[in-house]
Amino acid sequence: MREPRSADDHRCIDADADVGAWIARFLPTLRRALVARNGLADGSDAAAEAAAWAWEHRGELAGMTNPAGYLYRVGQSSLRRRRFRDRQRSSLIPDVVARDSPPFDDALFAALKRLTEAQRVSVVMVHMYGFSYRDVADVLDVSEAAVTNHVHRGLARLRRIVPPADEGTHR
Amino acid sequence: MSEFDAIIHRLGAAAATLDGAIDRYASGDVRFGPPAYAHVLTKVAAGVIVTGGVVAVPLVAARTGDDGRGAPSSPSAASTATVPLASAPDLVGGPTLPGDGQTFTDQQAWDAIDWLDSLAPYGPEGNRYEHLIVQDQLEKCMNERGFEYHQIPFTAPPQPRRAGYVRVPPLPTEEQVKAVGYAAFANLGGASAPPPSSDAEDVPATTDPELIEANTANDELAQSSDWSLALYGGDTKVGSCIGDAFGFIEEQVGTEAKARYSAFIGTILQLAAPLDHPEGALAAALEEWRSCMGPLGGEVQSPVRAVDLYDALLDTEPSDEEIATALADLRCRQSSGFRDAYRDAMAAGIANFRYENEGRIDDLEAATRRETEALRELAGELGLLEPDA
Repeated sequence: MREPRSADDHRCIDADADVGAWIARFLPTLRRALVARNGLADGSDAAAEAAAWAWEHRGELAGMTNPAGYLYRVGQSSLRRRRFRDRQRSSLIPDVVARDSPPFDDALFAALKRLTEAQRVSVVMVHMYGFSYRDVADVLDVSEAAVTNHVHRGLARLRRIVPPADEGTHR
Repeated sequence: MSEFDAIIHRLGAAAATLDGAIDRYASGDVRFGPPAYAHVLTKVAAGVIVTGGVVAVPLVAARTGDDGRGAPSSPSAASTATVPLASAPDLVGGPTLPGDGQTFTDQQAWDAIDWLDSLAPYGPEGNRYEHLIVQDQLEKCMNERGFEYHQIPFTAPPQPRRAGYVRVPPLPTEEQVKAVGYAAFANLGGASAPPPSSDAEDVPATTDPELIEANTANDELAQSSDWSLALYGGDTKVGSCIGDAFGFIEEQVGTEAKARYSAFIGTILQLAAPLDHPEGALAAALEEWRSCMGPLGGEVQSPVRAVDLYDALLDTEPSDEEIATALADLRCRQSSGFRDAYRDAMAAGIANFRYENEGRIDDLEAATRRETEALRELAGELGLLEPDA
């Protein structure tokens, strides 16, 4: 098992550590990543299922080298049950929320939807939330090089398709 | 502040919006129809998160049989060469405006989507020139600031223009549905299928040794926060190398195509998704499908979107419930005429868009051609192209 780099390191859990506290620390990160990939409703629900799974299987979690990446996959897999989704559920931010969230940069969120899932998660986690490439790589269970590539391509595409702020923002 | 830095700034500013939406959803303030799993979150929050694991969690819908390790078995990605602007299919077919009730072939619908995507500035060739120039500028800029930088070689992204669009793949047979459940819908996509959604499949660039080497070298350098700040910014007074690189291109090449495209972006995002505002034959087919599905439809408001179906590929064994529902869905799509109605609505919307905006589209395409050529010339002047390019 790797040594944690810091108190916030979510890559491994010491067997003696409080698993519940670890889940509490990691859940916001997991939820943001799953929402970025799957939209608000499905992403939030997937994070909830993953958190529930994590608590039930906390013994297994403690022995994993990358529990963060594992829970991300658990969340993704949980969505398989959610076969029936209409467009509203799969929106990154549904209209009903957007209307009540001024100022809402709908052009930016619409453009984010046009990225590939991996690009979207990487861009949102790195540049919206300020996570490190290493942290995002752990969550997605891919290499840092892959995250770098996703971020670079995602930003380049956003630059091409995002209109200026004053053309796409609800005020 | 460069345009690139402005996007970074907007992303940062949007964090509060997204977090606010997540909080509202978790609190139950936002619902799209039962059942939802947010109640699990609430219980987890009450039982585990808040108390640090003291209280036993009343698990709901925990999937003890699912270890989350389902092996992705996505269909092979199909080639998706973008339709050249000059050969974009003519769906309008004369001065008559397409109206409700006009039918299209599947190929016409796919071509219409490809044409729609081809409107994005630069196109595949321009993207390559842009990439080469950006990488060249990044290396120079980083070197000037005292940092090392390894240029990332260009690789054509996998089906970049397919991602995110609603597709209408061919319908599977009953036998296929019985064998693999909802995966049958996705597996039959063939050449018109959307890209697989698994992360493993989404990183084809990792097979390129030069790309791996460059990325790995840059990853090592990125351990220094100063290096990352220089590349991606953070200090608006100094700016970022990547912002400078894109700014350089804008100065040299212009932004007319982007500006013209931006004027269409809202419409374009809606054109390929007629389910957002179903009308006419599509609305009728949708209602028929819902009626046909009955209780099996659950909270569903429309047939499963093709893109979403790829989630089904994460696991291997479909349940009896899934197969039964997928069979019903298949039969209801056939009896309701939903698929054809959806295809026709999508293609008609795009055809109308072309008809109503012919002049503006011509201007956009002309600007795109000019700027792509300017990019090619710039890349040549910088010595970034092969001699015969």
